[in-house]
Amino acid sequence: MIVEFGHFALILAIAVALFQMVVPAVGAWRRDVRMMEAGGTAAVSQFFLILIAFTALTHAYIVSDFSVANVYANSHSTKPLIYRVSGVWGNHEGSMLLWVLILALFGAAVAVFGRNLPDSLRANVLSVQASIGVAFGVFILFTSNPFDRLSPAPFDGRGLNPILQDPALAFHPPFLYAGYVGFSMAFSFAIAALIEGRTDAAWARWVRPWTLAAWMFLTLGIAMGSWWAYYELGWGGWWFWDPVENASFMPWLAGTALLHSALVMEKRESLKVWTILLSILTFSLSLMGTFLVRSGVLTSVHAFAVDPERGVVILAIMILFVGGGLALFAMRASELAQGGIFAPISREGSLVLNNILLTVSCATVLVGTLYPLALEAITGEKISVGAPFFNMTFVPLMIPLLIALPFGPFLAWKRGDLPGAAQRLAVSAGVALLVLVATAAYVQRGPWLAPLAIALGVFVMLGAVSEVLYRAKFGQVDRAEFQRRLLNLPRAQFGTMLAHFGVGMMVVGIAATSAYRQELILAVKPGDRFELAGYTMEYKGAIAGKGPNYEEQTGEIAVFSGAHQITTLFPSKRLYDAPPQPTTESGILASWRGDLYTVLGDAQSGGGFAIRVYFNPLVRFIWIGALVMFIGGGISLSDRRLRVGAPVKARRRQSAAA
Amino acid sequence: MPWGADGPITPGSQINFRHFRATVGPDRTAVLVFARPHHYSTHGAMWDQWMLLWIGFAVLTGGVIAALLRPLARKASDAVDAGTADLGVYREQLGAIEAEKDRGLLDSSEVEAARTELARRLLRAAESAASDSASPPPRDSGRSSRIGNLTFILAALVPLATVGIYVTLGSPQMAGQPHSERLKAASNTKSVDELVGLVEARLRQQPDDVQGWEVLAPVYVRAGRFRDAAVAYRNSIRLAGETPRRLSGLAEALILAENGLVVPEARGALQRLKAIEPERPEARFWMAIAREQDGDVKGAIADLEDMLKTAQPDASWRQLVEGHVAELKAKGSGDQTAASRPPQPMPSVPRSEDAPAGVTAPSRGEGPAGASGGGPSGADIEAASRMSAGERAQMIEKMVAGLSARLEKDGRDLDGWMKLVRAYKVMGRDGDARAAFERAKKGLAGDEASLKSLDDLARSLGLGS
Amino acid sequence: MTRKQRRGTLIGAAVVLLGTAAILTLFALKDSIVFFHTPSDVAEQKVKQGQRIRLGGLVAEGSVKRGGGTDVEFSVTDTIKTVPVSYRGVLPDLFREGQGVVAEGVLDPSGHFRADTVLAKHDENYMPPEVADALKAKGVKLGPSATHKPGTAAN
Repeated sequence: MIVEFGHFALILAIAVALFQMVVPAVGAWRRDVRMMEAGGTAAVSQFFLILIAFTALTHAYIVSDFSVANVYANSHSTKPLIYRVSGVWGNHEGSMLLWVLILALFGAAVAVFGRNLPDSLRANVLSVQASIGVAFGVFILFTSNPFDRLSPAPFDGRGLNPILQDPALAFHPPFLYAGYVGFSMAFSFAIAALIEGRTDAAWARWVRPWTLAAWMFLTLGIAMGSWWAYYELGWGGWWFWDPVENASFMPWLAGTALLHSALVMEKRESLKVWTILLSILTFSLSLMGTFLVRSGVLTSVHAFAVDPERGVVILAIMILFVGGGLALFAMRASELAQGGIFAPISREGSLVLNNILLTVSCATVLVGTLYPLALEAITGEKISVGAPFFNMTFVPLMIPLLIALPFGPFLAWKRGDLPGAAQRLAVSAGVALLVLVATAAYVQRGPWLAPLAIALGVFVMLGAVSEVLYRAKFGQVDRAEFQRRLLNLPRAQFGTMLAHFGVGMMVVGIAATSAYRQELILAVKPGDRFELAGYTMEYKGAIAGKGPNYEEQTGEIAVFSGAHQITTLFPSKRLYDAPPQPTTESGILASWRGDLYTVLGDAQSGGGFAIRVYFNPLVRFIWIGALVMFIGGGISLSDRRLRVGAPVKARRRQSAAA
Repeated sequence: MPWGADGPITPGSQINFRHFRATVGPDRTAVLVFARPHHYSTHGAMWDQWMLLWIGFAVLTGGVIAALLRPLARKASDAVDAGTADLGVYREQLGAIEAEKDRGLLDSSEVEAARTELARRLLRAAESAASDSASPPPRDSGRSSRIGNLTFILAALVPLATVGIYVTLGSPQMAGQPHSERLKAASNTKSVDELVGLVEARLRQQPDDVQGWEVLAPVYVRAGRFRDAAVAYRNSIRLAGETPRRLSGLAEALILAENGLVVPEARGALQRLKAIEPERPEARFWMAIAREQDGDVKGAIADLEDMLKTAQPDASWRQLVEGHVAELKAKGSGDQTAASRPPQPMPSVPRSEDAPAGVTAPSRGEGPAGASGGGPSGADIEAASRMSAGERAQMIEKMVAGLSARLEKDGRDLDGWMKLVRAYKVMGRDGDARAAFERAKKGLAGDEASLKSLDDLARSLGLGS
Repeated sequence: MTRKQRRGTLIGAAVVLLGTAAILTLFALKDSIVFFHTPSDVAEQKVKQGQRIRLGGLVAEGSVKRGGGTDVEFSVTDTIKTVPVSYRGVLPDLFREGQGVVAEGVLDPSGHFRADTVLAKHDENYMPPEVADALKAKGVKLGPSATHKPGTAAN
């Protein structure tokens, strides 16, 4: 019964979304305040209705109600509770429901917190947001309904792909979707601005925190997915330039650009047209990501739940919104007022450079991702575009971006002082140079570019810190004064510092891991000893064991540093029951120096096992860097100037004065 | 009010209907009180559920429509127009600049430049705000009522469209079927057979449903339907490939079906099992039994002893294997009394979970040897003591069948015959007991002492002769 | 600086960067893409020796031989032609006889394929689209586990 209640609530939510799509837009057009207001209550009701539907589905998963086709196909009664819950979004239907839930959440947030927005802008935003909801809602109901029932109900479910039964992956999709869907806010605001033919100062103020929030979630979501792939797939790699990975990376690149251009727009009312275009493009890339992942048109190692027929519907929705958005942009963009002017060497100029580099690099990723599709359509030849392509195109574009990155915050708005900025960065650059020399001297192998890239990462990290120190006049004033100034700095300044610092960390981690990774593949018998990266390991043997829904073979590898045993690693191979599928669990010894990563391979005919051992130096920096970026975003978001509800007071004050 | 009109109420549900009318107020709590029917017939309870569902829908829809229309009932307030909103933003930005100046983060020239620019923007916004408020939007009554109509029409469409779509897509007649409740229902009515029938019916329609075969196979073994079990294991292997569990299941089902004879197909399965997992106790045990059946008793003993040697001291199948070794040794030395073990499945590793919980009533623990790769379930007696009555009966039946089959081949075992007759009597199968008695007499023909004991037994059991 | 000059500078910078990116992309596409072939293509000599390709098909039944250590030999077949493959390393979890596989590597003069990568899929019900298409084109009927059944929505 709860299931049916959820089903009904979902249908009602879509009907309400339809109402929300029409009424506030008509209200904005006719300047009828009450109709515009109705959009707000509709958005909130829509959110609660979808929440009811989502809760009902989750309940069906928790109690293993196999009369629900979706639960039958993706769950099993023996599955641990956490994976019964994460199973809700571990499949196509449920993940689309999560998608619209997050969409409705953002819509409701505009309705509740957006009282300081001009009424007509708010009404139009809600209307656009609802139209996306209607499109995806209808898609869910008629092609991917999670509430379809089975009668008679099967006795037990078919189980969740065991490789998805993992804590990191349980929370990867919600974060990723919060990121994807968060960009719908920027899109809705852009379309609303185009409908009204004007952008308000409030526009950028509003778009910025939402974009920042979406960007944060996407950053963490991608990082979690990469971390999962790293330890679960047993390949020792963390990024494969796989189409599905690219599909999440492209909105991130465009979203990062949007974040920076919206900053210019808020502070200087410049780059309006560009920011609006970027808003449309970022969300388009999010839709494309959804389409690529869901349709399976591209070969991906991460492809789950692909269904070309449903992919076509998502493609149609994507064309409708992207095409409609771009057409509206072409018609109305010229009507938007011009903003303030600035010199090429200025804060704005550096942000423009950032935007150009990010969008161009995003374009190369797009080409690399879609080229196989285009070539197959034209010539029928099947190709794959792998890491070498992206190393040749994407990486060279990142180098100028990283060099320029520390300079940007040192430049003043309107007109900047490049030699001055260079002077303030001299210490950072000097340390980076030392790191370069030291790295090259220490490793004496690998590509010549690697020490350079590591030095660049260090430069970015130190540059970010030195900007804050400079603002607090470090070394120019006494300690007490310095402390006072440091504490007085706006929180957003620390947010920026952390985000940039995180980028630097990632660069260091990526360069070190890619260039200096060590690998060992060998067949071992109990008692065999081998060495890698200063560790001595002894294979002790394999033990058979069993878990709640799998059987496993676990290898036991003792790890020594010198004569002293540090730890024992237990890489294993599991064979799950439902569905019957083998998986690999790696055994990892993580340290700041790098990860010792072991994988159990096939059993050998003469006894013993094949094993793979990797040493991935500094690999942790990648995910910690992403986490630091996430925290930086959070600190920025907590800054009063970005906080969403803050201007309410201002409005009241000013209406009292009027 | 027409709450009742939400669902088609037929005369048959008159009591429920009256009850409902008496209980339900317009507020939801009353409905929920009603939601717990106490002693209606099953049909009535289903009916209540159905009606409750539609009442829930009505309450939800009503609430949502009320929310949608609430703003329209309010008095029209002034719109926050764009110019006014901008003014607020710029004032705030101006404030932020002042604050930063006070904290010493901006120097005076920067403050001046920022202020000038903001002042310019403020001026522009103020102008536009003034022009906006100078031309208030026309709000003639005719027009706003038309707008109101549009809103009302749309709001009315919301429930209509929802119900229309729901009726086509939804399944209001279907109650939720949580796994635990279905298990409870199944065990309450003790209808393992019913459940098996359900799964079998499903498999007839979808013979490629691996899950179904996986569920059935161990249930069949428990029910003593070994041939069916073998078919089920064969099917799951065909559909989903060989796993140690399926191979050992297939082998044991085949062996049990043949009363302990390790038939060629079972040997094949055991060999493949051994290839995948050489240490698997089932594989080693049954291969040893196969050797024994080939006549190589010494080899069998050696294999089993080897198995014991490499076993963990606490491996729970140890007792079984030790027992068997003793039996074989006894057999070798001609002592017949010890050699009377009926075939039984090797207490195997995954048994506790490869059948759906609830169908297998015994909730065995993980076994003491969880890490050794075999959590066999312990000695037979212990297992039997944890079994439900029905399962114990099945186990006894299996033992009896094995005994009977063995006596068929070797009819000169008085103890065996006496055990069999007694067992049939205890199980209440008097006819079988009598038949066994007759067979025993034939088997023991010529052995007067034995025939005498047999007669005594028959008399004491009231079988007569 | 006037508005026009400013815009000029911006557009200039954008054009230079885009041009650079376009040139890089073209070079990269020429050098670093990998073509997908079936064993029949190899037999028809569509593949140059020494050229890096992806070879897709099914792992031939009974062809997997594990040598000493971590060397593995197997054959990839599209049921019409078969190509022997050698690989050194640990095979992915879902590598199994009769299942779809994509191997990346180089064909040596003897017609032997030396793979350095054997691709895994996360999902048992998932068949690489190229493999599925290629097999369909060759008229191979796929078993129930090889193709995705619409409506059943595996993960």
